[in-house]
This record gives sequence, structure tokens and C-alpha cells, in this order.
Amino acid sequence: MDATLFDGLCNLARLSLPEAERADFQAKFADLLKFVERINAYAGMGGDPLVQREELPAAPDEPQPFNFDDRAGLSFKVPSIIDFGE
Amino acid sequence: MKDLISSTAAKLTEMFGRGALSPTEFLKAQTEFARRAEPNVRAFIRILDENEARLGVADRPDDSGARRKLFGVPIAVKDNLNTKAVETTAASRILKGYVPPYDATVVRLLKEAGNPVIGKANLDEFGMGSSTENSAFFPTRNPWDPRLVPGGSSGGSAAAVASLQAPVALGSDTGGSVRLPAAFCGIVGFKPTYGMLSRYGLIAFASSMDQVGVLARSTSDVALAMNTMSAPDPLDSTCQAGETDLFAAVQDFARLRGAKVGVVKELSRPEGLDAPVCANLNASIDAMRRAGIDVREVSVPLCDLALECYYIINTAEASSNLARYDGVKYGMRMEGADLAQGYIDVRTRGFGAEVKRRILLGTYVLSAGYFEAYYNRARTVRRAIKEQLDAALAEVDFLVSPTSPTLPFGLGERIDDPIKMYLGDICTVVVNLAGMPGISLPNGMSPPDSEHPKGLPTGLQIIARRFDDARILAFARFYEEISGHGYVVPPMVEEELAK
Repeated sequence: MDATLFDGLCNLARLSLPEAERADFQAKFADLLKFVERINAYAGMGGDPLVQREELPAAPDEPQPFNFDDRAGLSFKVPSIIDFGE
Repeated sequence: MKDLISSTAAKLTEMFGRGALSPTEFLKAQTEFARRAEPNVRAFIRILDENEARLGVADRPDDSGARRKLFGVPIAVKDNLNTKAVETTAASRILKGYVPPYDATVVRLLKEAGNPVIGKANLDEFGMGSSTENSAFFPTRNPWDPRLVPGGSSGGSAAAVASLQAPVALGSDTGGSVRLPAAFCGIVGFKPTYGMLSRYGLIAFASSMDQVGVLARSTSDVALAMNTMSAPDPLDSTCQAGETDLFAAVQDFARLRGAKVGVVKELSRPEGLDAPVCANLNASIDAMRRAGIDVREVSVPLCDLALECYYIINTAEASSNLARYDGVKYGMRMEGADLAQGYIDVRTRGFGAEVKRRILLGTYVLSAGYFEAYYNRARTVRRAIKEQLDAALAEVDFLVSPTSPTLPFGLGERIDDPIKMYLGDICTVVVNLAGMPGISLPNGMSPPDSEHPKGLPTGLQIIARRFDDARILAFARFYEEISGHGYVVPPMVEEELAK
């Protein structure tokens, strides 16, 4: 399986696989993809999904940046949910 | 006390009711036996001491309703159900040390009805697996042979009931996780209709299919537990529990008059079907026919794609549900160079291999480039499977199949081959995809051999229409009566009892 794609997935899932586990993981993951690929045998048979028929806008495949970088000792400062308009 | 340990919950509640035995006395004896049997089985992540077990438990029967409930009977609880003030890990390192501040609704209802929690049962991490080998702590062993797996993911719950460590256990069933271990351990495992029991406090894996289930040594015991837990819950918007008295329903065979049964062709001859499983299915069908039931073959062609569909949907939902484990709010915490690195370090160290695999697959099928080809297609197939099952159940009242295509397999035998492991779920996942009730019943043993003098258990799966839970339990009890099959004490447990 393509190493760039695999790295991208790990990045999105916030996982970092140690080098020793990587080859085994990639091989098993490739087998899993082959397995689920069979779902495409259903292609072209039509029908609606079980829930949420409407098209959902897809977000870009990028990890979202963290927006609370301020630290107070060991804790992180979380921004206020409600803007009181200081 | 030996006879009491192997009693059904129905008999125990009757004895507690007339004062022939006290729940406190029984809890003490049951806990003692559970601790003795534990080294051979390893069903529990933790067996509770008496004070913890009785925390928040009512000391008199709940007389608010007319339904017979499960007063006084100790319950084993799968460790992915929250228990107030008692560590709940979902068998994951990432939740080690997490002590919930509240009980799951089903646990609360049992405690209010006077049921102590005897222990937290082992499972595959977050319910992801079919053998209980994916627990971050240790694998559970099958009471019929400790070299074999007990099935999963509720393997600890099933092994606890089969080895007489608890009369009843709670499990959860996302793709067969109650029914498969019930079949491997020779007990009854019931997955109610999606929505019959509250999921509040059940640690989420795949929310559109997760359901709390019951494992016991008879259908009547399952019905008693269901009577106790089936109640509307404003904390779970999918909960649509009614007020049916399921214990009364299982005594009433009149409601089965004229019932028709369909044998699902695609689930009855899956790849790799073991000969004893096939033979016992045929014997079950013969027993039904002899009892006057109309049994016919039905076809649900899309069952052939159910496993692929299930593994796309469950991984997609798991990747989303497990995004919350970041080392900030629960359990394991590590200090990284910055917050982002801290998240990555905790998740990489905290999750086991199978969980990571499913998160990655879920991330893949939900990504913008592949969403349509995998996730949306799987949702379409799911609808079509549900429609085909509905059509089959318009012709007949119940569908039957083996619960598992194989006998219990060896520890370590499939752990390095995820696809082979997944194939064990081939008969059970359709029930979760369609939200229907399903039950696994003991339907015989494999032929005895030198290693297994009584053979190994097999299971019969029965499926019914959504919210036909009373009828499926009545039919299950009817099957117990006509077949003569039921719980058998495993030889290893007999030896322990004799000591």
C-alpha cells in the first residue's frame, strides 16, 4: 500500500506507528482494503442509504489546527465558548 | 451451596422471595466460587468485594411494577458499561484508571431492583474482536477447554456465566458480541431490538449498531433480566422500551400458534462451516418440524455482502467515537512536546493493534476521496439488507441459522489474521445492520473425543422482526423445551464444584 496514503491516514487519526510495527500494519491494512473493496459488487444497483439521504459537504482531509495554545503550567487554556465582547 | 451456585436466576429469585435464602448469603458464596474458578478462566478484569458489589443496591424487592424482576441475583457486567465509583476500562490501556461518576442506565436499573455487581467482565478492547484476545490485559479462556477462545467480544461475560461465576451477565452486541460467545460457551445470549435497552453509559463503539445484551443459562433468566432493564430512558433518545412483561411472555406458548420459521440459505452454508455445526442445525430444524412448526428455506441474497458492509460502517463509526480519547478527559495521560504530540503519544500507546487498525480503516472510508465509494455504498447496502430481511420476515415469523460457522477455535489461532477473525461474524452481523432482535441458544454438542469427553457446544441463532422481543423469547423457550438442549456444566467447572 502507498506509504504516503498510509502516513496521511495516521496523521488524520492522530496515530504514529513505530517503525517496527509499520510493515506488518501496512500489510494487514492492505488486506482489509481488499476485503472491503467487495462492497463495490453492489455498484450500480441503485437505492438510498439507510439514513441521511442528502449529500453531506466533505471537509478537506486535513487535521484541524489546535486553537488553544496558551498554557498555564501543566494545563491548557481553553478559549471561551461564548464571546462576551470584551 | 453447590446446588445453588448452578441454579438458574429464576429459581434464586423464587427462593429469595419466600425467604429460603438471603441475597447477602448467596452473594458471599457466589463471590467465593468466582474467585476460586477465576485462575482457570480469567473472565473478570476485576471481581468486586462485597461492599463494592452492593454499592447503591436496593436491599428489598422493587414492588413498584407487576412484572417479575431479578431481585437479589448477582450480575457480571462487561467492562464497557459504566459502574459508578468502580474502574471501567473497556479493556483498554487508554482508559486504565478511569472511574465513572455514574452508572450506565441498565446497571442503575439492576441496582435499584436489588442486583449486586459481582465483577467487571473482560472483553476485546472497546468490543472490537471475536475472541476476547484483544483485551489489553489478558485473554479469557473457554470453560470447555482453556486452550480455546470463549468468543467475543463479551467473552468474559459468557465465560463467567458458563463457569458458574455468575448466574447472569450483561454484554454488548455490535456485530454478534453477545451471541457468538454464548454459542462458544454453551449458554443463551440475547441481543434485543436496537432501542429496547438504554445505551446511556455504554462506552460507544459503533453507535448505530451497539446494543446492550444479556447472557444467562436459560431463556427465562434472560427474560427476568430484560424485565428489570427494559424501561424508557430520557438520557438515550434511541431508547423505545415498552412495558411488556417478557417473563410472562416466555411462559406463554399460545402466542406461537401457527408460527413459521425460515432457514436463511446464505447463512446456513457459509464458507468454512464445521460439520458438527451443520449437523446440529439440521437436528434443530428436524426438532421444530416434529413439533409441528412449518420450517422452510428462505433466501436473503445480500447476506453475502453483510460482512463487508458491517466492517465499513463499524470502523467509520469507531474512528469517530474514539476521537474523544486524547489523554485530556479520561484515563491515560502523557506529556508531549506540545498538545498535538501529546494526543498522538497517548493514542499510539493507549490503543491496541486491532483498535488502531479499525480507526485507520474508518478514517480511510470517511475521507473525502473514498466516502462515496465505501461509506455511502455500505449505507445503501445496509438499507437493502434490511429490506430483504423485512421481506423474509413478512413470509415467516422467525429466521434461523447457526450462530457461528465454526466450533470454538484455539487461542492465538486467528489473532494474526484479521480477515479470518472477521469471518466468524458472518452469521450475526445482519441482525445489527437491521436493528433486529437475535438470540443464540445451545443446540447440541460436537461428537465427543479424547480431549473433549462431552464435545464442544454449538449455537442456534434465531432472528425476529424489530420489537418482536417477547415472541422471540417465547420461541426460544419453546425451542429449549422441544429440543431438550440447554446449559451443560463444563467438565472443568464440575471438577471445581466437586472440590
